[in-house]
Amino acid sequence: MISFSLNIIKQILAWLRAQWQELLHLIRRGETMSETYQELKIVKGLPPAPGDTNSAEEGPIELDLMTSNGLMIRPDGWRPNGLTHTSVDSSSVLVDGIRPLVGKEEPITEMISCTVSAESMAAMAGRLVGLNRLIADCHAFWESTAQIEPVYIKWWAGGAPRAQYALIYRMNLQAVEASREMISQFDVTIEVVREPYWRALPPGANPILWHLRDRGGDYSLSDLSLVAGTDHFVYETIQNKHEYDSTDLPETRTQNYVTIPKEVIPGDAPALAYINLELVETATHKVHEFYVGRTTKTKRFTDGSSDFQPLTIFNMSDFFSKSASTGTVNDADCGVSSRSSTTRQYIQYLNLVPGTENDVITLLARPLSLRGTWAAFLRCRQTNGSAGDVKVRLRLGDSEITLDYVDMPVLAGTVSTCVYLFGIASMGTFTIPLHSGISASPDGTGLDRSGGIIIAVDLDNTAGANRNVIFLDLVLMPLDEPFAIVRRNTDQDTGASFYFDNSQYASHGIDTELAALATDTNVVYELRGNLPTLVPGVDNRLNFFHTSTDNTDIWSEPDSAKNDMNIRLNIVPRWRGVIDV
Amino acid sequence: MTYPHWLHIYQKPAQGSAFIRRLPIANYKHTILANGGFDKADCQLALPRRDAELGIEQWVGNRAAVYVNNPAEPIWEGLISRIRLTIGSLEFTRSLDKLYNRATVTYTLGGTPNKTAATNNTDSQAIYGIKEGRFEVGYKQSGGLGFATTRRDSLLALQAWPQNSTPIGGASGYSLKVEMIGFYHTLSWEQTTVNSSDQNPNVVITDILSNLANSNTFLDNTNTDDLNDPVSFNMHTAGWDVRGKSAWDAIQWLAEIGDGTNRWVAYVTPPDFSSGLRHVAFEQANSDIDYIYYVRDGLRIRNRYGGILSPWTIRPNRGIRLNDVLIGWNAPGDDPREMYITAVEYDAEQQNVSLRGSDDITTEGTFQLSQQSLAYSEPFGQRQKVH
Repeated sequence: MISFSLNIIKQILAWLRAQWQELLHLIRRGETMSETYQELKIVKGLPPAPGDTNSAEEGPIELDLMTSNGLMIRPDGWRPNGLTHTSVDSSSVLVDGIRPLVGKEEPITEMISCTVSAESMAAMAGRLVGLNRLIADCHAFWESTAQIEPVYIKWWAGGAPRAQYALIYRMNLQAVEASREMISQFDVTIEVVREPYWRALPPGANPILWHLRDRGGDYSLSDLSLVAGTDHFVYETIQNKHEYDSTDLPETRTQNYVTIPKEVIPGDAPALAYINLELVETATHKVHEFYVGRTTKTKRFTDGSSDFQPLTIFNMSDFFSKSASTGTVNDADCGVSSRSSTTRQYIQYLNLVPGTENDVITLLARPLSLRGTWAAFLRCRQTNGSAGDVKVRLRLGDSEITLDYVDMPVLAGTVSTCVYLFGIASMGTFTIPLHSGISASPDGTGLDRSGGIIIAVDLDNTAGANRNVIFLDLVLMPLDEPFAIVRRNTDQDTGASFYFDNSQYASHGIDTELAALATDTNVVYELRGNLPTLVPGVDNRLNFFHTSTDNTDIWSEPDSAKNDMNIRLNIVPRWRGVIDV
Repeated sequence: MTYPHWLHIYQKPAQGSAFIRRLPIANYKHTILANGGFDKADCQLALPRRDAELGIEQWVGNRAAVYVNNPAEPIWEGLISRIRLTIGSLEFTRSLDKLYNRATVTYTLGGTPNKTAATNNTDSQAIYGIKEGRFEVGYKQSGGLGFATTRRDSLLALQAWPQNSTPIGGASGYSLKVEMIGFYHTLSWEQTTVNSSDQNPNVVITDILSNLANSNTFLDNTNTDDLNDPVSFNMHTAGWDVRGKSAWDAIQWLAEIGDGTNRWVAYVTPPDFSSGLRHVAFEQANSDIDYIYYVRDGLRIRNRYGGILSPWTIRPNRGIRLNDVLIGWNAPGDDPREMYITAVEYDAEQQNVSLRGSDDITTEGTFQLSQQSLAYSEPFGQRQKVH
């Protein structure tokens, strides 16, 4: 009898001890949760757009990891991991240390320990079934087009201004074990392999939501278009050329770029970007290629009297020196205006005799405002004769870099005294400064070095007769920052509006880069190079220009408002750690 | 900034030039030769099985180009010659290597070499271009062509389309590997019919190109801008002939003759930015020292002013000088620090290049198969100059 009573008492005490420990556990967990996690979920899919009553989005399936009667993260059940950077380095036994060559951020593995509790074993099993379905969907993501709903982790850190998200590459239920035998509970550990950076929006979400983030959901379907309207992260109309305002230097009359100030680019990792480029002219214009390149280097340089923004388009008429050349300025008010004249101009060489002619145009560029590796394009044209008659090349410095001759483009059709259409010659690549180790001035002024570097244009008329050639401008696109060319197999449709997307909205969450016609996503475009992201903490400039075609010739036509471009930009900022804005 | 490498896939050249697809690649390697140009490349694609199966069925023979950071210039271009799909222990391969859609057979009749007329599978040629197979069947004592023509027809019947192989065992994992050849290889696909009646080598090359059975399918065979004249030399009068050689063997043979003093090279150029076309160049080799490197910094290749170059931009047919070894030394003949680059091998994962010079210490064996019929092809990756 006594032993029976003792056993009962022992069981009661054990039960009380277990309950007390569980109570302490819950108390500690509650405190820790509120400090560390306002929200922690594994989510599949995206919500429909507000007001879209016939949306194809099925709506998200959420697995809350902070549900007391379900999955609950354990105290210290997850410590978010930081980035792991791997690289290929150059190393020699003859020199100390290493020289990093290339590196990348590795995927991050998170271990999340949870408790599964429910009123019955069957209910607990049901919780795990939900988790296992998400695991299966995660692994099937884009393995076929049957499952294209991204599975991601949503984390709202304690005290953070908003939630943050990361696409899950792989997920495993690493351990399941019974515990605390007197209550209905499991301990599980979820292994999550996620992308390196946290996003401000769910993977695949419409990037305009970042721009609309502070409206508290007070927006509708009509506000969400990425290719219409003017209410975007950036909306600006730019031109297919760059011209200074000759009466108010260094202000510009036209520009081929949009500048995104560093103050508006949050995060500490490259922000993904969705760019819509829409031609202003919608009736007859057919575009062949779009060029887009990002520059983030040197903010400005000075010529002693004014501060200039570094350019990617250099107008020949700004640099032409008649005494050094047989060319002349055509100032029939076509082409582009120069720093010294509002009259539009280009440079022409009429009756160019057979043979070579060097230094026909010399640009004195600021070497350190142009530091970097560049792809050079010359907008120019041979106006009579056949392709290959006249060749053109660039030389830099004191001929330290001499690029190969290339054919001057020839366009069919009659050439009037005033030329509006210019061909594109790809001149090659070069790096400035010529010695990449020399980046700062010996006079102690740092990167703003005095003096300049000569970029000269040479001509070689290989025909047996005189030829006429014209030059408009030199376009530089960056090779040490993202630079892309988008081209359709045949000529583009009229009324062209395109999008370039690495925000992963168009791909519904998978990591890829796309270019497409906004009005017909079935049209195939060739995207060469890499689409720009935005670098936080510095001013970013996105430089554009484009060419047109009639399916016979390819030209660029800067001197016409129909070549103006409306740029709509929306971004997905990203963080290595906790979101801070 | 990271530099992802992208494989761009286009239509088969005999069918068109339209862009089809852009894919990120891994484990990319390429080889570029001073004599030839873009030579070989291979990479792995990360594709779901559905796309991988599409690739092995449809992409053999397609034009392909690899882009990195400069969208105006591919770092390599050519044809997809073989695709290997590995699924577990199964490796499924499909390639152009044993495809012959034009066939001839040679034989010796009474001490006189003879050749059958060619037969063609025009359906295959319309897709892949013309690739000629020439088989030798040996000695024949008396007249009658039955045996030879039957052998020829068998070749065409069995090998007019890409050949498949499915070895089981030995492989593991899941991958789609793409192997590519440069366009100069297509000049080995056909025998030249030019008889060298023209005088100078550059004129002979012009004739070889203008008489290509593949015409302008793979390259602009009318572009003579870069066909230079090494020496005034009447080949025909001197009794030399290029007949019996493949178009590429004949061109390379002329390059090896040179001008008596300098090295000459022949190669297929990269595609022109505007036209997208490529052509044959025949010129004196570039002897300039365009690259330098230092032992002290791990042999990173720089331009002549010390600027560091991306490894994928390194090209052959120019000189390189090691700048911090053998300082003050000299040797009879060439400066031992300098080397003419005959070949560049680039490895994207390692971010390095291997350079081959004139004193090549790698062994390039020639394999002679012990069989009755020798295919005009590239067994073991080696060109065979048996015909």
